[in-house]
Amino acid sequence: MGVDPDGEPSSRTALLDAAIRLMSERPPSTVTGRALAEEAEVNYGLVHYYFESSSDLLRAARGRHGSRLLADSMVGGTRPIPLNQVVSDREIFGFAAHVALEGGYDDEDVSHPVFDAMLGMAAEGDQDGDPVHHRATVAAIVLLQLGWPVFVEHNTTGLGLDLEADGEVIRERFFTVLELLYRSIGVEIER
Amino acid sequence: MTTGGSSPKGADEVREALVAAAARLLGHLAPKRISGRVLAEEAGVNYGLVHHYFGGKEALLREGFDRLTESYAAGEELDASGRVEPFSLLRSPEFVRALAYASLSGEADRTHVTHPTLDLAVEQTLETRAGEDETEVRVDVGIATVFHLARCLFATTMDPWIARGGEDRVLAKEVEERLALILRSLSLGLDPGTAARGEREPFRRSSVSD
Repeated sequence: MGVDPDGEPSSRTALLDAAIRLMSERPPSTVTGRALAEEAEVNYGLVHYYFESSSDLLRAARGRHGSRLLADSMVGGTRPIPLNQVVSDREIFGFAAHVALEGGYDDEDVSHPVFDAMLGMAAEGDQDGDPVHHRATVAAIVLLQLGWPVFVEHNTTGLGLDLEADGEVIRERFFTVLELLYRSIGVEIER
Repeated sequence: MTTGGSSPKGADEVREALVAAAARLLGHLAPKRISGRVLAEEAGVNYGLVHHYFGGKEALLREGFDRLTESYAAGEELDASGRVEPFSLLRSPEFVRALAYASLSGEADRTHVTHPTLDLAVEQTLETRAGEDETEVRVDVGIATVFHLARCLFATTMDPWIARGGEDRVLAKEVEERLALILRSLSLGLDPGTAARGEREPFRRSSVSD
């Protein structure tokens, strides 16, 4: 078994990355150990070697999801995730939605590194700002971005709009809303 | 999840049991994972009756969605000014979950059923924003509704963080009120950043002149 640069056994990391991929497509409870081992191309026995239970695996996958977003998409927490990426990257919104559908973060002390990093950016960009404003803004941005790919088609049709014909107008307005929220905490955002 | 008790008898009872079963299952599974057999089993009726009364699972699932939407709309409470309370869907998690399951499995088109609440929201907002471009108003209501639905879907993820690990109830309440203000600003087409700071703006967008 090799070791990856973070000092983690590489097959453990491969299993977690496979879990994130699979759980972006379907609920965690439907992902079997066999499917996971196959997706990760590691021996089935290692699933149980590294993870005592499915909740243990899910907790570790959530941790890996957060730290990967922080390291890669947020360049170590120094910039927000570009707007286009969140709404089009299934491994971001699909994973988050499936975890939420199956109970979310049941342990209340679980860390939220991405939310905390965004809060840190607000504290820097808007130094005299009020904590309620910062926390509400980060929550609103995250909710809008994660909710968009899940609900936009349903809403658009329900409102009598056409995603083909009106898509550009809708998207433009949506991104403007996110830019205004980011601007209120002193952060400029890339689309 | 089965309801237990004696199995439904007679056309009305069987139909009702099947629609109720569909509504329940939609909150827990992607539509494509709900087979006719699972529906029959959940309803406690013979498999053949799904076809007999609905012609197949498709029509039954549609009625299940309609049922969820109706029960959500019926649970809406209007405040003194005739408006629905912010984040009222927090009381209808099954409806939100059903939308999410269908959408995530690529079946969002199945959810296009009755929309009493969305219709009401559009009607009220058009009244408030009389004279503005109707498509713009609809787009804004759509974005506000995405926010509302997401607030409910991601409550289990977001709530502990909002309350800083469940410790800070006062902060959680203040943030919640601020989120309601942001929701309002979205459907009115106002600057959500201003709302996030806790400031209220006049109804009309500055770009719209009287």
